Amino acid sequence: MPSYPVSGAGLGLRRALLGPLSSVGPEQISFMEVAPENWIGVGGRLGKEFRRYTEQFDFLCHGLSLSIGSPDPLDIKFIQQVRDFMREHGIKAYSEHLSYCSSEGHMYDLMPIPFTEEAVRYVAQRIKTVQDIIEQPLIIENVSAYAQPGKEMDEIDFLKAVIEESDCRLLLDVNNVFVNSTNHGFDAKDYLRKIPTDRISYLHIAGHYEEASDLLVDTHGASVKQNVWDLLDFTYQQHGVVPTLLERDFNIPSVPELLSEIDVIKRLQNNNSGRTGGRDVRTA
Amino acid sequence: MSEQPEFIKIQQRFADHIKNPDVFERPKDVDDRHMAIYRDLFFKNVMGFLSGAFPVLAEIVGEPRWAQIGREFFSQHHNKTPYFLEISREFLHYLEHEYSAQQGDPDYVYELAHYEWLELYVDVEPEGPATLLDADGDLLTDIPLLSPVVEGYIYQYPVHKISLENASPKSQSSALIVYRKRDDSVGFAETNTFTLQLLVLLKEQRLSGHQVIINLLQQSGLAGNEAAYQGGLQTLKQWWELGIVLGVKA
Repeated sequence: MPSYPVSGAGLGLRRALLGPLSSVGPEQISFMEVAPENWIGVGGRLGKEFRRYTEQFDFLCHGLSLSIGSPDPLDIKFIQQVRDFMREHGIKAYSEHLSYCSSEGHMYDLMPIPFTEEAVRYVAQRIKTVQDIIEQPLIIENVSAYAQPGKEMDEIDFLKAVIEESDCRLLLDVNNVFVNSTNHGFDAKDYLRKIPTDRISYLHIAGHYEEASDLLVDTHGASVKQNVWDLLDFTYQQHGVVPTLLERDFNIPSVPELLSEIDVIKRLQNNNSGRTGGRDVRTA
Repeated sequence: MSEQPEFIKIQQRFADHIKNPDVFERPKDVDDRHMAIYRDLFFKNVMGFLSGAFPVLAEIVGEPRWAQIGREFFSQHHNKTPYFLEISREFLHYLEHEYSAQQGDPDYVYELAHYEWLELYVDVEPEGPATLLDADGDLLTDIPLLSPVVEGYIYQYPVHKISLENASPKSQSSALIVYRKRDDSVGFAETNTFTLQLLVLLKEQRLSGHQVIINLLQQSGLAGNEAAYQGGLQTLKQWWELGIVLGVKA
């Protein structure tokens, strides 16, 4: 049986949700996720509220500023601070984006790493450095992209090569697979079939914005689209029931509306219960 | 220096164009429609941080000047912090050391930004290790304890009164205290340069309230002045009521 850092259906915790979610318990939301960059070094009323959540729920860190593919050097002090923050709050694992967000300074959003062999080696080496500091596997996430500069291989091959070479884990974002399959014209199910089941730690699901029929933007500002729910179902069929977290960062709806989307995750998980995954062709 | 790998150069070009599209061309293999998504996402994101942290300043300088300042900050300032709440501090650093004022920019740009940043800082700064507190102790005979986060500054403008309706105040020295209240909300108090010295001495947490006032009077050439002593005592009591002083060391 695969082992996961959390289980069930989770939700990304935003500052704007601290108040609205105060009467919700772990029976409704199985686990939560926060960006360490928003909470490290935060005290006062926010720090106290945050602690109430980490004492009640299982937590994961989903980082934004690690910049694993950046031309800039890794910020070792920052990684140590993330590690200490995780220990302080009993946070179970650390995921980050397979992208970069700095080049001669932080830019606070995600840019696409060119899919090349050289980049695979560079990123894998940096992931190993991070894993040495946090003393556990890093979980990397496939990101949405609106351009593929310098591309020399397919995204799925790049992703798999980085995972293999660094021996890290995967946060599979199903919405990002859908967004990229539209933006860059590949078959989403084919991509999902090629994911190594035994590397998956958890899934993300979110809404996106349709800029044009061939250009989707991963805004986390809308409800999950039906075709993405269908892909989540397909992912469970392929890889078994994996813990899955709903991301909602903008235009945040009422708590009942959020919980109803989490219930969709739970329903799909129940429908697929008993599946343990491993239907893909595993990497040798 | 060894030659950078090709993919690193591509990444740098990509980032340079996002920061400053007027100066740096986009990578050749990316069309403008797709590149525009990145340009907009990044710039809106940064402007969101800045406008959220400095709402009064943003309103007063107005669009498009605010966007221009934001673009200069984004394209020229080397942001060192990975932490989002500290972007406002990076912006302050930019205003202090890199920003060049244009005609029409108020003289108080940095001071107002500093005051707006101070509110954020006092709200989120972690408390130091707790000291045992007696909330009803004697402020004169014991050592008064301050709010865990309290800062006092002297500004050359009345930054606490600046707003869109009052955007051209006369320069006027203003001593302001921003602090975390007992209920964790942010409190503001106007004071004067004399009593701000009281805050400095109280921060040392070394002397009783009586000694602090005596020292302050000596420093100011007011030793033995009973009215000034009573004034200091009044300030201590008032600060206790406001929550700038929480009580005394137990």
